[in-house]
Amino acid sequence: MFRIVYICIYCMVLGIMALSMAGCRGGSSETSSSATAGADTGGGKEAKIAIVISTLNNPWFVVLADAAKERATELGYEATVFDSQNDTSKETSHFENILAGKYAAILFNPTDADGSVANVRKAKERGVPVFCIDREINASDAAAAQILSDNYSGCVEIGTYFVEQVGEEGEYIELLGLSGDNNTTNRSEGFHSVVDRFPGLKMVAQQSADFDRTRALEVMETILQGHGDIKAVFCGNDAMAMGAYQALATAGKAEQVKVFGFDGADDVVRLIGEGKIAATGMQFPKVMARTAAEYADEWIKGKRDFDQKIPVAVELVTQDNVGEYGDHGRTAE
Amino acid sequence: MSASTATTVAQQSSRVIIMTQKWITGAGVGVVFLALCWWFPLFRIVKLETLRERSKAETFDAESVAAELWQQELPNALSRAASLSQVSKVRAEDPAVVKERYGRRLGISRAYFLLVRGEGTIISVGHSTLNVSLEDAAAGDVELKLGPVLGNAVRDSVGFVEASQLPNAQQFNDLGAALNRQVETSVISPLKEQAKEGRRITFVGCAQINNEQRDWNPLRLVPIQVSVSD
Repeated sequence: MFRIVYICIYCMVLGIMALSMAGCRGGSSETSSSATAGADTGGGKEAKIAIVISTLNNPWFVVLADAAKERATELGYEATVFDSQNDTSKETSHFENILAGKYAAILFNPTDADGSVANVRKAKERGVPVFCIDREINASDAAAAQILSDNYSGCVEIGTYFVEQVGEEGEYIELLGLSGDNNTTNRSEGFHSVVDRFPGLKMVAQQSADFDRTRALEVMETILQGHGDIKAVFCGNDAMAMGAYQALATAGKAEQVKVFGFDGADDVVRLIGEGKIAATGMQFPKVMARTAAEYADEWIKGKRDFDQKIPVAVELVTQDNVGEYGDHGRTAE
Repeated sequence: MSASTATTVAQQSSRVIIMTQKWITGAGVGVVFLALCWWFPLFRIVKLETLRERSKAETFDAESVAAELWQQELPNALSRAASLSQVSKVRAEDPAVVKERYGRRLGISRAYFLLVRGEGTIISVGHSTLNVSLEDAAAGDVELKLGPVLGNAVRDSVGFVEASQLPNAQQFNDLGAALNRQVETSVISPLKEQAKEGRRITFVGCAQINNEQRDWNPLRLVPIQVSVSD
C-alpha cells in the first residue's frame, strides 16, 4: 500500500517537473521563432490560408469553418482547418505548425481573449496576418482586423424581448458560456443592461455551461431540482439553449419556462418556428467567415489599411419574423 | 536469549529502520509536492464576478471617459444633427437616401443610427415616453424617451469613439452604458420635471433604425439636448 502511494507521489512530482520544463521550452521557441524567415505572402494560386477554430464540437463553429474554407478556396487558396478543441495549448501548437508551414494568412477564431494574444503576436512578428472571426482578442495592435458579432447590442434586443414576454416580475436562470471568452461577458452584460432595470425579475441561478449542450443539460437538471418555479432561462448560446430545453422537456416544464438563446443555430430557429423556444439572436457566421477570407485575400494582394474592429450586427429572431431566417443567416440572401 | 531469537529481533529492527527511512523519504517527497502545489498551483478558482470587476477596475473608467466626452464632444455632435423636416422630405422621396445621407452605420449591419433635431408641441406625457407633434406637420410625430436608456443609440449616433479605438468590446459597451447614464442624469431627469402637455419643446435626439416600417411610425428618439418653454 505504502509503495503504491509512494510511487504515485513520485510520478506526480516528476510530471510537474516535466510540465515546467515543457513551459520553459515553449518560451524559448517563441523567442527564436521571430528570427526565422517570414511566410509566403507573395499571393497567387499557390498560397495557403489556415483556419484555426476554437472548437469543432459545436455545429455553429463548423459552419464558421466551412464558410471560411469555402470562400478561401473560391478565391484560389489552399485552405486547411485546425481544431483547437477549446484548448489554448492546442491552439499554440497549431500556430507553431502553421508558421512553420508557410501559410500566407490565418483566419482565427480564438479560444481565449487574453490567452490567444501571444499566438497572434507571434504570427504578426513572422509577417503572417491574423484575421479574428467572431471572438475577439484583448489587444487592438496584434490582429490585422477583427470581424466580430455585436454580442452586447444583440443581447440588449433579447433582453428587451425577454421583458416583453416574461413580464416585469418572476424568477429566471442564466446559463453562461466559457469564462475566458469576451463573448460570454458581452452577452451577459447586454442582457442584464436591460433586465436588471426591472427589480421584479429575480435571477435565482447563474452558472457556466461552457457553451456546451450536454453540460447545459446537466447544469439545468441540477438547477431545476432547487428552483422549480422559474419563468425563463437565458442562455449565452443556442447549444446551451438546446440543452436547457431538453432538461425542461424531460422535467415536464417546457411549456411553463421560456427559453432564450443566442447564435441563430438551425435547430433553435426551427424550435422558435414550432413555438418551443422564445427567441435567439441571429449571428451571421457565414458573413463573418467570408469577410475574413476576403480581407485575407486583400492583404495578400497588398492592402493594409483595415479597420481593427468590424462589428457585425446581431438580429432578434422571434416567432414573428422566424420565416426570414435560416441556414445561419437571412433566407432572402 | 537463544541465537535464533536474537537474529529475529535484529531482522525486525532492520525492517523497522528501512520502513522508517521509506516513510521519511515519502514524507519529504510529499512536502516537496505540497510546496510545489502551493507556489505553482495547478489551477485557481476565481469567481466570474471578481474577474469582471478586476478587469474593469484595472483597465477602464467608463464613467470618467463618458463624462469627459460629454463635456468636450457634445457641442460638435449637436452641430451635426440633421433637421427632421429635411430628413422627412428626403424620406418621402426615397427612404434609401436617408440611410446613405444621414445614417451612421457600425460595421456590417442593416441597422443605422440617426442624429436629428426638431421642434414642436408636447401632446402627451407617459411613464416612459412623451409624444411631440412637430412644427412641420409633414414630418409627423416623434416619441422622446423618458425611461431608462438602453442599447447603443446614443453612443453610435454621436460617434464620439470608434470600436477600434478601445482594446476590447467590453470597454466599448461599458462606454455606451455610461453615456446612457449620462443622458438619464443630465437630460432626461430635468425633462421629466418640465414635460407638460401643450408646452413647446426643441430637441436633439438619437434613433436606431432596425426596421424601416416599424421604427419610423413614430420615430423613437433618445433626447440628448432639450429646451422646454411655454
